[in-house]
Formats: sequence, C-alpha cells, structure tokens
Amino acid sequence: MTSPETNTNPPLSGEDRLRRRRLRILVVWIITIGAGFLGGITFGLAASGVLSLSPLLFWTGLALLAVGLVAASLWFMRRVDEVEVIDNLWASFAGLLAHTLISAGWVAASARGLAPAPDVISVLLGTLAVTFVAYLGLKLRRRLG
Amino acid sequence: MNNRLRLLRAERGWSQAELAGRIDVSRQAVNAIETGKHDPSLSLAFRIAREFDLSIEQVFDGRDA
Repeated sequence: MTSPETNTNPPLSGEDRLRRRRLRILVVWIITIGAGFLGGITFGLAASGVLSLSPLLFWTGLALLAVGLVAASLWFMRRVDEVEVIDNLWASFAGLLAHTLISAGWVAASARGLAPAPDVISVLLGTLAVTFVAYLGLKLRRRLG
Repeated sequence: MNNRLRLLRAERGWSQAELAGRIDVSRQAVNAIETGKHDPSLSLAFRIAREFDLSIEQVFDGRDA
C-alpha cells in the first residue's frame, strides 16, 4: 500500500518544466506591466485633475509601485538564466548610454538656443525606446540563431 | 567554446526544450551554448555535465568554437 506522503505523480519531463518556468515568468511580467499601467493611468489622471489624490495616497501609491517594481525585477533577474541576464545587461547599458547622450546633448543644444528646454518625459521615453529596441535586437539575434 | 551538446542531446533523443527544462534554462540558452555563441558559467557547465552523467571535459573541450 502506498503511504499518504508518497508522491505518486510521475516526474515532469524537461519540456513540461520549461513550460511551467515560462508561465511563471510570463505571469510576473503581466502583473508588473499591469501594475505599471495602472499606476501610470492613476498618476496621469491625478495630474490632469480628473482624479483627486491626497498627498498621503500619492506617496503611498508611489512607494508601493517602487517596492513592487524592485521586488519583481529582483525576482526576475534571479529566476532567469545567465543568457537572459547578459541580454538584460547589454540592453540596460544601451539605455544608460542613450539616456546620457540624449539628456546631455539636449541640455547642451538648449543652452546654445538650438533646441527647446529638455523635457523629462521625452528623455525617459527615448531611454526606454532604445533599451527596448536593444533588447528586442538581442532576442531576435538569438532566435534567428 | 567547442562542445558535444548537440550530439549528446541527439543520442538521448532530447529536444533543446527538453534539455532546457532539465537544466532550468531557456531554450535560447541551450541553443546559444550549442552554437558556441555563449560560454556557460562553471555552475551551468557542471549542471549540463551532470545531466548527461559525464564530466565537464567530456562535454566541453575548452577550445574556442
């Protein structure tokens, strides 16, 4: 007779384990992106005056978003394999270079009257776009072999 | 780095996804190692060798691909 503690389930195949691994990562990605969108929309509505947000609620929401983002990023970077970590490192490096060049270049151009005053959101979007394109390029290269 | 990963995998009838799940990495990572585009860390190399019941030297030869 089998003891109640005995695990009678057959061991998972490597492909099943890989599927579960992908699903776990996908779920954390969706939750993180969803929370980011929700936070962005909430803060955007508050900034435009559509939604009333007390200072306490604002700072609490921002702190929760920051903690959640850091926790999800740490979980992600510890869970993924070394190839993924390397791709993230290169993409982040490209983003950092882009941020430095865009912001410094824009400030210098603005100081000489060649461009309007730097806009924080545009710099942020530019940085994110370069990071994303670099990451996508690396992934595409790996997929195409 | 040269390795016998593709051959060893074929001998066991494992897909890249099967090996990836067994050593807890993505399929892209297995492909990158097989094609010599990524040299695995020591701990991953040990994990791969253990999965095939071989020593590291029997899987990787240490020369550039």
